[in-house]
Amino acid sequence: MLKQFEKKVVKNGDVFVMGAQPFLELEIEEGAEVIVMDDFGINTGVPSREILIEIGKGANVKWTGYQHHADEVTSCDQKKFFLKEGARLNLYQNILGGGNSLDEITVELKGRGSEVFSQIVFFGHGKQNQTMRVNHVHMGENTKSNMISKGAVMNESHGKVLGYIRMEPGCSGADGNLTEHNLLLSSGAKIDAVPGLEIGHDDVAASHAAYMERVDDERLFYLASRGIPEDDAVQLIMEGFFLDAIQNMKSPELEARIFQQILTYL
Amino acid sequence: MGALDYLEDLDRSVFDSANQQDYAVRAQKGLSEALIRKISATKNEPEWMLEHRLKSLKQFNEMALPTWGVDLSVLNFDDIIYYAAPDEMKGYATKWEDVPDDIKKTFERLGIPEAERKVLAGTGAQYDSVNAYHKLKEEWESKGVIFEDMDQALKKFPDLVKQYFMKCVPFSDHKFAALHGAVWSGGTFLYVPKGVKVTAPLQAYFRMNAQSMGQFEHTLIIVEDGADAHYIEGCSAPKYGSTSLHAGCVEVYVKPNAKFRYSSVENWSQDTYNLNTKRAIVDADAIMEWVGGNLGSGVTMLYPCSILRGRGARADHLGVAFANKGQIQDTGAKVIHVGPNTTSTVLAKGISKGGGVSVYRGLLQINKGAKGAKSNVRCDALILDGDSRNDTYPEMKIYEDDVSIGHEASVGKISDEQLFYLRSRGLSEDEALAMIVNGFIDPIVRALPLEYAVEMNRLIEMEMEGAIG
Repeated sequence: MLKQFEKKVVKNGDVFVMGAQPFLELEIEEGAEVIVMDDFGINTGVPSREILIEIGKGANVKWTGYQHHADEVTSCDQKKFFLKEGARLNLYQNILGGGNSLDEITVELKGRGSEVFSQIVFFGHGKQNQTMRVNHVHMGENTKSNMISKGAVMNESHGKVLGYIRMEPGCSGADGNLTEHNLLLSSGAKIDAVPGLEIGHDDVAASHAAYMERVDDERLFYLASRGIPEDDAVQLIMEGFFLDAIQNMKSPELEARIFQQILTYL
Repeated sequence: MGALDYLEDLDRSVFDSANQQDYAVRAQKGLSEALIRKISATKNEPEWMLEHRLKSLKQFNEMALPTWGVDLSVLNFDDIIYYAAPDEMKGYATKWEDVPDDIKKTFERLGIPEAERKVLAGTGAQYDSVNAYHKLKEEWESKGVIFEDMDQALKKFPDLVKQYFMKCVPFSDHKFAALHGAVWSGGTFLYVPKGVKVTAPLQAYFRMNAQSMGQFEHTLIIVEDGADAHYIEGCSAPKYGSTSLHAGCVEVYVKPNAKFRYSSVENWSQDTYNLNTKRAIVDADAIMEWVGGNLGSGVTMLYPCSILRGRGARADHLGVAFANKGQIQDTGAKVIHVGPNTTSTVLAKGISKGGGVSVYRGLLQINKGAKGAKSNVRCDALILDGDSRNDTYPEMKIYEDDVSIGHEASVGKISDEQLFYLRSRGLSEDEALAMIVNGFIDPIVRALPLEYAVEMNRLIEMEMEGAIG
């Protein structure tokens, strides 16, 4: 089947709501300030997508994504962003659904001085198998990227988080950072983490870090000594773990939906 | 003459020059069942070893090349000499005087006798496929320490060898382990009995000499309960125009409460494919330390592995890789936590220069049941010019929730400010660069014994020569 890409142009001041197109090309106009809301899941009826997004010179995009497929769905979502000179992307991707899912985000920082901040929040429950891959590719000079992932897994779910920073030759002055925070909530859950760096240029700075945490007995004991039962305590610790990331989005409506969804799993 | 004087004359060409040799038992190029039978017959091996070799050959023929990492498809397995022994070598010599002059000369240029006499407890140096020289100070021998050429060990201690041989790295592990199982020759056997603490480091030096020949030495180390030892391996191969293959295997068994350190400085010539497999099984409360420097060879794929089997076992990995022009240093560390309360630390430093590629490819796996496991991985890279590159792929597989894991990495370059400061103190740009690089790898060099640390620093300085312009 030939891929039929539908094309859309987003203008300054728009709040663009993503539809159910499996193949979509978005063009964000030069200098535009836009918000894209991407609600991808049970409501869309499409399990797989391929989306190409071109962000024009000096444009500023805030992207809030929420993947909430049903538990039996196998899904594949690929998004590719191309940033022109001085463009800026703030990307918040929240992944809660899918039985077997791949969510891949590639950001090519082509233009000089373009910047990206990506934040991945994921929560695995039941027997979910979730793969998140983020590639930040520095091509232009003085480009900046920052990726933070926060993920928790419980029951027998398996979360794989693959974050890559790639520095292409010629991206002088580029700066890339990547941090992966993971929380293991049950003994049957699994985490694979690969924080990768591919550095092909010398005049750059890059760093990455990954951490694994658990809800330790000490914290539970402390909360129990304050009269908080274990179930509530785990919920409190979870909220604490995700709170700053979720509040970062500055989108109270989505924030509430995500927390509510997580609570139904606990 | 002091123990370290030879370093003053140390010259890269020493490692890259070949001695004229007649190879009596030199086998033909290529791999066949007949060759395997011939190797086994020449060495007068027991039946089980021949069977093991044949099984491995079958496995090798069935297996595909690895699909990840460096492209190995250019390797022509039919164009490699798998076994050669200099005709003047009969068995091995225990006295330095018995070693043939020609070979002695090579070793003298490499600085082996001084190191042995002054500092080390014993030396086993592999000259092509048969050990030229092997000696262990009487003091340790009387305590039951066995430090032998692998072929001799198979004759003298067949049961001990059979019990451990390729149990840690099975021949079915990967294609090059299978190849090694089929054509292995020489290497070192070290056995440290219960409670014996060998205070001086034991040393072996491997060197490839025949053109287009592989080196498949097998190192088997068993450190019994509560024992303590330090083993050093150095590698260098002469430079030749066609591709050499090195597929060695190191197996280490660290028994409960024992402590073992394995240090190696690998400096193969630039046309060598260094595809080594090193693995240790670490029992309860035992400590395994890997210290490694990779400087030479065209392509290196080397990932020392520790399997922390017993409760409270610990592994420390320290590694430096220096990739110069035309080199790919694909190295890293693998740690698999199996037992509870196991701990591991990894510190890896990669340096790329002149278009070289250094890669850190690591694995940290926490198996189910490894409760309370702790691990810290740190890898740093230094890129010295715009043509070079560094990649970092640290994989973490966490299958247990009661763990504490941290990983950090950074990539940087030498800033003009640092250089300017050092130059204002009267250093040349080359000297300043070498000093910064030496500082960068200092935590690892510090873990090496003195003469190796000096050699490592010298080698880095040689690599750094002409870094500017």
